[in-house]
Amino acid sequence: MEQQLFDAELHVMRLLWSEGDKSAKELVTILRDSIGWNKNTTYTVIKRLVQKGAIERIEPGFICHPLISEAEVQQAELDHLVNRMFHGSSKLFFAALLDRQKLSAETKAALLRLLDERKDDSP
Amino acid sequence: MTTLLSMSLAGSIFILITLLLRPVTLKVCSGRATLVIWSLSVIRLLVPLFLPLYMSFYDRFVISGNPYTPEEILNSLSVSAAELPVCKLVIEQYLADRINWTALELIWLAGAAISCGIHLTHYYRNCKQLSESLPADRPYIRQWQDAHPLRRSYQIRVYDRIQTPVAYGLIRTVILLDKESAKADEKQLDLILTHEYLHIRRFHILIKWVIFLTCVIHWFNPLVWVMGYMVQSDIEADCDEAVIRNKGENVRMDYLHMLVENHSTRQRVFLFTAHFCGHLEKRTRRLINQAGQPMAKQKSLAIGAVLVVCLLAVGIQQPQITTAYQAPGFAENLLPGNQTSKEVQPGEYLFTNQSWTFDQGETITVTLRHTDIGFPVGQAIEVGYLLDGQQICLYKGQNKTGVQMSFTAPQNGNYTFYLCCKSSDPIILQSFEVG
Repeated sequence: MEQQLFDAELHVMRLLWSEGDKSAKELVTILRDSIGWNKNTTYTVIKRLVQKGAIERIEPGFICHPLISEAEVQQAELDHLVNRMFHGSSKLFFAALLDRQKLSAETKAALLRLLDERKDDSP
Repeated sequence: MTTLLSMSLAGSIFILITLLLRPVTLKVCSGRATLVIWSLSVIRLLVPLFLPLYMSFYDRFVISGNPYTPEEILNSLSVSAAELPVCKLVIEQYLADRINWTALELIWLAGAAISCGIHLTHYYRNCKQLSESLPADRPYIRQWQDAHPLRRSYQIRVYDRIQTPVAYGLIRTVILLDKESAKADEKQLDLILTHEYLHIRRFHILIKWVIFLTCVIHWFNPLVWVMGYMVQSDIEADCDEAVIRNKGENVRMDYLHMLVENHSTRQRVFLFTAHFCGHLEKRTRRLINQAGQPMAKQKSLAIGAVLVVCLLAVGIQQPQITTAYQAPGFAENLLPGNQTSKEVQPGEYLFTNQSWTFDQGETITVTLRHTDIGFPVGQAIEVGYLLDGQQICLYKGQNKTGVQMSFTAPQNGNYTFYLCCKSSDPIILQSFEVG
């Protein structure tokens, strides 16, 4: 899936990731009660997610099944951010991240551990 | 159709005067005052009020704006029994002309329908997109909304596909924040929310719908569209001033900086919505000019501007688009009953109590005889006929005892003849024959 997800679409995806496959009818009810969307709005967003390849429509019953995981979306969003704002450089991105906030000793240690794990994985 | 054109012309005069005075009103008047001035133009465009230049039988149709039945009109006039048949004929002909849709009226209807359709489709598509917004879940926003109630309910939501905050919805009103504004610090967010809140409180969205209606009805008049654009700018200015009045003069510069920072040229214009950063240049100039100007002075200047516009616009003569049926006087029967003569007063019109059907090319002879009252060159009279709402003069001149004229019918139709006394003394009519 190449296209980015808008907030409305992410909201629907988070619902499916947390609660599993749901029918379109169930999504309409949940979203109407939680965020005040009407039926047409929910169906429009679901239709767009199907077109983007994020959701699969299973018949009968119009069951919505996520085709991408939350981790994949996070990675895609991160890649987009790094490419757009940091000219594709992860180093620049991390430098900006470290400049932005003070890290606790625990967080620093966790980050170093992650880097070591990745060093082992890379060819 | 003639009523609509008259209203459009009259409204255009108001608009032109307001535009001419605009460089002055922008400097000295508040946004609210300029909106009041614009409302004069809108009232003129939408309300069919006419100041009659003279009272006549046919003006009663124009003033009311609604077609009366012949019976209603006759009941409101003191018309004698002898005059009834002729009056009825003329009224029925007038009303028949009103009911027949001319090509011009059909063009207007098509233009209005297309204009309305395009804008409403655009609006519907925008609303459909904006409905995908999510509730604003930041605690400060909820507290702010609780502290700013309205009689109508409204929501504050966040939408990631707009660049500046927007207020929309006449019945289900929503303040829509873009993602950046929703994350702004509390001071900035307070100013943004106050601005959009005041749009709702001051019924600016309703005003935009009224402007839209005016533009649809007068779609053929470019000045009305210009007015629509100007009103949008003044609506934003009105809100800016209200925010500063609400929060205090000390926030003026902060507010200005925030407007400039939040300005985005990429923002698509949504119809019937109030935009936070629209018409930026005019608004910033206005906010700077008004700094330090006391409220009392602004109010008195505003009243002055409204009065000037009223006097100038109303002082200009009411444009009347007249038709042949707006002849003065009312119809009388020619020689009713057993009368051997009839006195026709100076300026009075007399119509025949029947119409004649002629084919195109047919030769018609009209003979008129009247008493010689001793004037050397006779008396001035005018003779003619009415056909399809047109008044055609056959003869205009002076004669001592009468005149006979022949003419060829220009088209098939029902011809009603008339006589008008143009003399300074009454004409004593003896006979009027058509053959």
